[in-house]
Amino acid sequence: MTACFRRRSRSGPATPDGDVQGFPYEGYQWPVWYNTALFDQAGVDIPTTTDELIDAAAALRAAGVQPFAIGGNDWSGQKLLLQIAQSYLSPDDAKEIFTNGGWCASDDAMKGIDLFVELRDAGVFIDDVEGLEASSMAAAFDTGAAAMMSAGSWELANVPAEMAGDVLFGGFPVPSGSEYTKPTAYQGTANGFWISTKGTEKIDAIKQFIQYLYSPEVAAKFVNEAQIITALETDPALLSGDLNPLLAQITSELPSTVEYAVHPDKYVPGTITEQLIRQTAVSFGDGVDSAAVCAALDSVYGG
Amino acid sequence: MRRRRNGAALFALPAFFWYLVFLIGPLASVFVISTMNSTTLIAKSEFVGLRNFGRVFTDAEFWAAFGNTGLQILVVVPVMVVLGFMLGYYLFLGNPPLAGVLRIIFFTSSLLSVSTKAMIFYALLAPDGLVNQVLRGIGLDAFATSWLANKATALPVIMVVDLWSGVGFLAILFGAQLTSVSGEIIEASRLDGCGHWRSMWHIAFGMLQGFVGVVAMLQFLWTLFLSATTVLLLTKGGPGTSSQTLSYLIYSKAFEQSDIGYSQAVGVVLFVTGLLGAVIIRKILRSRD
Repeated sequence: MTACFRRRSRSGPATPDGDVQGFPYEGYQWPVWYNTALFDQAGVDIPTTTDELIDAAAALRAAGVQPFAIGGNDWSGQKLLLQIAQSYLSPDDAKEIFTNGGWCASDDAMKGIDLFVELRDAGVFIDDVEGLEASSMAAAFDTGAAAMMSAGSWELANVPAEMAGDVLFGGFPVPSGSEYTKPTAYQGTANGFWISTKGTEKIDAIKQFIQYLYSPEVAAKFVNEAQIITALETDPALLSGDLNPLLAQITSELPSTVEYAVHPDKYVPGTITEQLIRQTAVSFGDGVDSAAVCAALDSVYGG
Repeated sequence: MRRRRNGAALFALPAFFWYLVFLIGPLASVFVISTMNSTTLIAKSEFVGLRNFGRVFTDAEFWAAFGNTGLQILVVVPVMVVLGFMLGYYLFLGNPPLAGVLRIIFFTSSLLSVSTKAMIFYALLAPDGLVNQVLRGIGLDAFATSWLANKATALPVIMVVDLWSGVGFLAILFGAQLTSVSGEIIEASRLDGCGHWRSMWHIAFGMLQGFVGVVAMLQFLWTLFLSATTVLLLTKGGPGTSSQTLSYLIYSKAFEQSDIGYSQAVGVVLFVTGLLGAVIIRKILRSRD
């Protein structure tokens, strides 16, 4: 059962030692959302490199539109900062630094932080970004005030119907020399199944249950009927014809247009997560240089 | 006679047990847990002596919170007590117009729950909130900032919220005491030609010194221990650690960082601080008799 599961799922359930811990079921995609109508209005293409992003931001501002909305003061800003900061890090190096710190000591990490500071100072982020939270970010995007945001598939339900046709999912642009060749996005899992010690007494029944849930037809049902993305790759042929177009786009088209960055939540120790979020908030403020950013991040790891 | 005394003791027993379980018990556990290496409440833990205290006193985060709390106490308590006293004097002895309505208005702030207050101030202080809108509207754009996300303003904001919500309550406390204790004397002094300022500080304050001491002590303890909720709802101690107070550190270490041993060590420090501060304040502001 585990081998069958591993073949199908995008993110494995195993510990670093290879032991199965649990079965992730509910999943999410966390792309960059682009409002194509606003980009057309500004007369600029969807950026795929960070240089293009800076130019696009200038054009959008000239057209009276805020470029990139993000909640600088909370977890949404933390994820974006770490997504940009890992641009030059190999996945293994990123995992190491997320787990143990050492931002200032790593040249490649500092290049990523320099990139973040450059983007911030070039006006890519929405005004007053350091004081905003995820709800303000979503509000800015959903009201057409901002042309881009980095948010998860859980926000799909809040997109106004008249805007749905203009939303394009993609990744965050990458700099030249980046570890990644395509724009990056996050993906992850949310709710899932753990087997309790009592449960091991009924392991056969559990096996039946899990196998049923993880069958392609049932997984597709979750998408079609409950609008829940699962941790499994959904066979496009099984998706309903009248599925919410955004949901169809995010499950079928997005995965092939992006590369997935290392998700910080899997590696940053839970006990320092809140402190790290408060320090990344500092980084979004005006005039905070790269040295101050890396020092703030390292301070959380006892550095 | 003896039987009646025993009967009285029996009636007090339930309250005594309640007090023991819900007050003494938790208080004792603060000291006990501060000597254990507890991570969460249900994890196994062992006695480690004073190691947690060693960690606390060598931790920059603790000293940052200590400094913030010190600043908060030194500013909020005196300002709150002085303003509350003056406001109480004005509302109850100063014959303001619509005295009854004013007293209700000033008292309302203390009737609001912490979460309501936080919501109000959150909306006021958001980057596009009312405060910034007004500042920009009257041409003071340079002063508009992210009040809750700016290192320089996050802690002052917490202090302002405390002041706003507490002054009205203290005013009512002082005012009620002023009228009952010294109302007639103040009137007499006013008839003798005393100005309000002299009446307030030389007469009213003098008569109420002990009471002011009690209220100041209470306000000190409230600010020391209860600021955590305001911090939690508005800034969570951020940005960085600029608005983290000791009481919030206790919460953060226990529930966000799974380090209850450390958290309770800070709890012991706070307990001792509270005790010392309360004693000192009462010594300074004692009844003149």
